[in-house]
Formats: sequence, structure tokens, C-alpha cells
Amino acid sequence: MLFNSYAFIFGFLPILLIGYSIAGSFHRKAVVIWLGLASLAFYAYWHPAFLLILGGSILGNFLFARLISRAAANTTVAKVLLWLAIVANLSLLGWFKYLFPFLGFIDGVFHTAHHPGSVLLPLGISFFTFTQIAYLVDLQQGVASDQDFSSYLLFVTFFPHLIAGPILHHKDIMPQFQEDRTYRLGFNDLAVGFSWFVMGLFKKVVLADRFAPTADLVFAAHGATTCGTAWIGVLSYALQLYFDFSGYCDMACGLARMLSIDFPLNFSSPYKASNIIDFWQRWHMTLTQYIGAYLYSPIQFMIVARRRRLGKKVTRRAQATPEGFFHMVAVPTTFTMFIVGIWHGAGLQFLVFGLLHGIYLTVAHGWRLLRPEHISKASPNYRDRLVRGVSVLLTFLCVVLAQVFFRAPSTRDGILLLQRMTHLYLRISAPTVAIEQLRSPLILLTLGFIIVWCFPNTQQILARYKPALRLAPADEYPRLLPIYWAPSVAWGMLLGSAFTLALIRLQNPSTFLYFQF
Amino acid sequence: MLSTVEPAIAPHATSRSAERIGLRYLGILLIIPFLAFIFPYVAERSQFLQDATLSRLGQVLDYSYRATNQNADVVVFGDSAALYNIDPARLSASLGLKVINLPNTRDSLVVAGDETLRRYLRNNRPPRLIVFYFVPWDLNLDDPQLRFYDGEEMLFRHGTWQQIFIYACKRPQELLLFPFRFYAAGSKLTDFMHADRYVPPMVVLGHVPYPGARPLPSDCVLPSSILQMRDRDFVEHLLTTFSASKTETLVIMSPIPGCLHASEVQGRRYFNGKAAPPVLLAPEGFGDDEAYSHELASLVATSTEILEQAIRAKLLGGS
Repeated sequence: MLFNSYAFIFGFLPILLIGYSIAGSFHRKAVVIWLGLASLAFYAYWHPAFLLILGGSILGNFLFARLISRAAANTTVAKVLLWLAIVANLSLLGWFKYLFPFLGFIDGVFHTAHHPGSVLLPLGISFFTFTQIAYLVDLQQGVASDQDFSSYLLFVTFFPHLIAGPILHHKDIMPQFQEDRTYRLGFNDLAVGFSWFVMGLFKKVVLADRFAPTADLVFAAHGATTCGTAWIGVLSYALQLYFDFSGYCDMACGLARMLSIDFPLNFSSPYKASNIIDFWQRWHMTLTQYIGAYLYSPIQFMIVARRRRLGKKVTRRAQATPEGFFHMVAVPTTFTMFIVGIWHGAGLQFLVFGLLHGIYLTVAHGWRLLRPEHISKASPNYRDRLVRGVSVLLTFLCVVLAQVFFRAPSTRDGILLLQRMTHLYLRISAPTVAIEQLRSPLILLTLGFIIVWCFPNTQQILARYKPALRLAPADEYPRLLPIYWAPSVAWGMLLGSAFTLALIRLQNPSTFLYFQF
Repeated sequence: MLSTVEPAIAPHATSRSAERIGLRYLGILLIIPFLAFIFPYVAERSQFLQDATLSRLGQVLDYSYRATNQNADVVVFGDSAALYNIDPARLSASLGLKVINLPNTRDSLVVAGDETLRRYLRNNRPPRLIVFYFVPWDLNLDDPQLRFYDGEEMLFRHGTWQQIFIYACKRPQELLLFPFRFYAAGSKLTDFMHADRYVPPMVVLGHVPYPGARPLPSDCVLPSSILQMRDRDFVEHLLTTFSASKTETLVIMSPIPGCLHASEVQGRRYFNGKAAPPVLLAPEGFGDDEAYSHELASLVATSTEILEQAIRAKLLGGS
């Protein structure tokens, strides 16, 4: 079920809230069971058969969790069980997400006689698989504690995060459902959460979906565009992706808050990032944290251990040497981003996207070693602001170039589009997309970038009501426009109007871009 | 700095005052969408607002409901092909009979059925001939892709409370979504939300020129969704219901574009041979839309002439 659909807004959500209120008057356990069942119904609405896959994954992982928790932490038995669970989870993910595209790739390269079919990707499979792997890893290391089935079911399936994140860590969520508090609907939390939801809905329906036709047109042209049109298409996609994912994250966090649950932040004005490291601390933040904790750190740990065995230094100074930097920074960073690229999809273009970001990050880390950051964030002077502005634009440009591969139907299409973008005077014999075909793109793009760069983000607007578990470090920068939400008449009317407009434009709901991952 | 911001009220505050403020705020936030939701129902039923809220297509469809004291000799009742492709003024002049069209679209027929024809017959002298004029893929009304707004707007404007109630029982979800479609459909009142300007169409005896301009490409292909539509229930029902001693009936298949697979449609038998198969015309004479049946101005004379010959044969024995 889509958050941006009438069925969800007028059907699922009111029923869920009423049920929550009734269950809350009985017992905490009733709330957990109600939310778990409602989340399963939310998932089944799209494709009931895939409930079996979700259910099977939950049951299997719950069984592994039980077995791992019975074995003592960090014992060989626990480790073997953990590896078995990881292999099983990744096999399920690989079957649905990578097997058929990979066979198709082999077929394309070697022209084999066997044409592989395709399989429908179960929504959210990456997210619920990653969530459960992290839990099992922490359980094996003794960081997490064993859960009863209903709590575990809710932790994995809780509908606001089930389809496209944020990727929840058990230590963030489990305590909130186990807290000894009154489980009933609070109008204060409803007001904060619903306002956040409306802001997200507006971003998705009114902003993101407006940029989509232009982006779709240009990316479907297979490079047959002029330089200007190519840029307009690529920038439109940059804004579509931004408002789409930002809108989704706002809606997810808002829905959780309506039930008095705080989610971790997942999106914090990434296009305001002044370097690529900063960008990844703002974009899909929970994925970055997950990848950092469960992939980057173990790889780096292994490399460091190997260097120690070989008698090599592992200090920060050693990291600053070319050889040390290559082994301890460049290799784990590039490999991690390679995996991040593959996580987004099976096409070669996602691999290019991941590797590009790997290179960006390596260069950024190298730059930091050469020139440690010294700009004062508390009271930046004119020069600092100028340097920051240039850095933001440069970072944005790098991100946009990588996004060409992220969105392009193939690597070849991505390269063709990049060629069009960089050849101002390149003559196209028959451009299939002309600027006149695009709907007032320049005005829309200008408006979009004003919102992105000049306005505070939603968690900053809601900051006085502690909208999430933790604010992002980036949210502590001073803001150009200090706008704060309050449960006032003016905000009620403003968001009421935004909600109305979004509802009118909701007649042909479009899926979120991150649903395909 | 955010870290220095003092919360106005504590996060997750559950005090009575915080709850009261939250409740009041939610009331204000929801009152605007609520009023926006109610307004279309009220506006469509109110004499005062009806004209301002009439949608672009609604202005055309409204003609069917206002056609009193017409007393035509020939009444054309069909889908949007009849609306755009047949010029009743031209037919009237060439036949020497009064001909009118009762405008419908496929989507309006789903809601209204034969209501406009019934209403016409109640308020006028029985015609000599009723022509049922449909494109071959509109002979039944059972398509899941249908949109209901055209018909719902007319239902709210002209239907009785009983008819609205019956529709509400039949399609409650569609009825609830009506207000959102109302704002998106475009009218004088909501025209500011649309990029193109609202130009009220001139309805002449139930005919308007096709509003689009882009022609179908010559290498067009009829989609499988259109080719699969073969049931004729709705038109069969019309034939049995409206055949009377004083009034003859005639079924005409509207000309279709000569796209790929069009011959498959042309090769079928229609109503046991009572209706001639559709004539294939050049695709460039049709508008490029999903209906594959709306003629541009250049073809209207041809289609009108084809119909004229059929009426002549039926009423005047071919003279």
C-alpha cells in the first residue's frame, strides 16, 4: 500500500489509529499484536502472495535468533548459526533481486540460447532482510537481547519503515515498544506526526511528481537531446529523487510519531552537503550507518588486523602515507560503495554509480588528510560562506553526475547523456526531446532549488517538538530562514491547504523511487 | 543553533493543555480539506453555483439534459464518437428532417446508462428514428479502466436523490472520490489550477468539434485492450428497450482509423448482420488519444455522409 493513496489515508490509517486506541486501553501486548497484524495487512495489500516470503523470512530469522541466543555469545556455535542465517538471507535476496538480472546480463554478453525470465521483486525485501541480519549479528555479539515473537514481528514489519526504510536498529525501536507507558493516542503526538506526514505528502505529490515527466522524457531519449535539455532532465531528476525520498522519509517518521514512536532520521538536506562525506551523512542516513557498522568497519578491521600480522603500522600517521591510505581507506571505501551500488540494483549502471561514489569518498578522505577542515561553523565569516557555497555546488555537481547512472536505463545511456551534457556545441541530427516539450522546466527548477537550498528541512521546522530520535549533525548549522512549526491556527490552515492540494493531485498515485530497491 | 532551542512544549507531552492544543490544531488542519471535500457535492446540487462549477466536458454533456421541446425526427444516442464525428446540423439540412445528438461519453454512459434518452423521450414527441451510434469497442460498459467523473457530475446536477442513493450503494468508493476529481476536472471556478485557458465550447444540436489537434500517426496500432472488447450487452439492451411501433431503431458502427489490426475489428459481424461493420478511414483524420475514434474536423463530413446514407436507407427506402 502506498502512503500517497486514498486507500491508505482514508482507509488504513483511520482504522489503524482507532484499533491502536482500543488495543491501548487493554494492554501493551495488544498494541504490539495489533500493529504487527496491521503492518502485515499493509504489506499484503500490494501482493498477498508475497506475505509468504515476508512471513517465511520473519519465521526463519526468529528461529535463528532463538538458537543464537541459546548458544552463548561469541561461541563457535553462535557464529556458525549466524553465518547460516546470513547465507540464507542473502540467498533469498539474491534470488529475487540479482539472479535473473545476472542471467540476463550473461545472456546479453555471451548471446546464449537460454533467455532467462524475470521475477517480481517483493517490496521492501532489501530492507527487511538487512534489518534482520543486523539484529542477528548484534544478538550473536551479545549486544541485542532475545525478543518474543510478537515484538520481533512488529520490529521487522512496523509499516512506516517496512517498504523503503529507514533501516531500524533494534536498540532504537525495541525499547519504545517495551516501555512501560500509556499506549493511547496522544493529540500532541498526532498533531506533530500528522503535520510531518502532510509535509512529506506535499513534497511527494506536489513537488516530486511534477519533476517526474521532464526527467522521464529526457532519460527515455537515449541521448538524443541537446545539451540544455539534457541538463534540464538531469536536474529535474535530481529534484524528483530529492523530494520523493525526502517526502517518503517525512511520511514514515510522521506516521511513527502519530503512534508516539520516534524514528531515527533518514534524510537531512543532502544537497546542502559541502563534501561527499557530509552528503552520505545526510542521504539515506540509516543505510549509511548500517553499511558503516556492518560492512565498512568489519572490512577495515580485517585489513588492520592483517597489517598488524605483517608488522605494518596502523596509526593515523601510517594512514597518511600513500601505501597506508590505499590499504586502510581507499580499499574499504571503494569496496563498500561498490556493494552500495549493487544494493541499489543489478544493472551495470548501479555498479558505476557505486564506484563513482567510492572514488569521490576516497578523494574526499585524501583531501581531509592533506587539508584538515578548519571552517568555523559557529560564526562563519564572508570568506567561509563563499568557500562553503562553492563546496556545496561542487559536491552537488558530483552527486548529479553519479545520479545520471543511477537513473539511466543502461550504462550506455548514461554515458550518452553525459556526453550531451558536456558538449555544448555538439550537433544532434534529430533530437527526440526539445526544450519546448518540457513543461515550464526552468521556473520549476528554480523554485525547486530555492526550496532545497534556502528553506530549512522538515525536522528543523519541527525541531521544537523533538521530531526524531536524534537530530542530524548537519541540522545544527545556522539556517537562512528560521521557520518553526507550532500547533497554531496559521500552521493549521497552511498545512490544511497543503493537505487539500495534495489530496486533489493524488488521483493517479505514483510509487516512491526507493520502492524498487 | 538548534541545540539551544527550548521546546515550546515537551516532546511527547501528554498534559491536558498540550492535548487540548493538539486537538484544536488538528481540528483547524482538517477543517480545510473537509470543506473542500463537501463543497463539490453542494455546488453541483445548488442552482446558484452550478454554472460556475460545470466542467469543460460537462458543458457539452449538459445538452442532453436540457434538450426539451426539440421534437426531433431523428435522435442520435451514442458515445463520444457520435459527439465529435456527427454533425446533426448538416444531417438536418441534407435529409430535410430535424436531427439531434444526445451527447455522451463512454465514461458518462457507465453512470447514466440510457437516462438521457429516457429523459428526452419523456419531454419530447417520439422521434421517427433512434440511431445508436457507437465505436465497435464501446458496445459494453464493463471496462476496469473507466473513469466516472463525466457521469457523476451529470448525476449530481440532474439526478434525483434516489438515483444518487442507488449509485452510492453501487459505487461508494467512486462517490467518495468525486470531490477530488471535481477540482482536477477543470471548470470556470478551478481554471486557475490548469495551464490552458478554459474556452466554453459551442454545442450545436449536440455536436462539438474534437478539442485536440494532434493526428494519429499513419503507422498506428490498435492496442490489445481495445481489440479484446467484444461484448455488446449495453447496445443490445438499448435495442430491445427503445424499439417501439412509432419509433424505428438503427445501430451504426462509427468509422475507425485504419491502424494495424483494424481489419480484425472490421471483419466481425455486428448484431447478426443488422449493423454494417465500421468503415476504415485514414488514421491521420483521427485525434491522437486513447479512444482511437475521435475524428478531426476534416473527417466529420465523411462520417456524417455515411450516417446520412444509412438513415436515408432506413427511413426513405434509399431514395
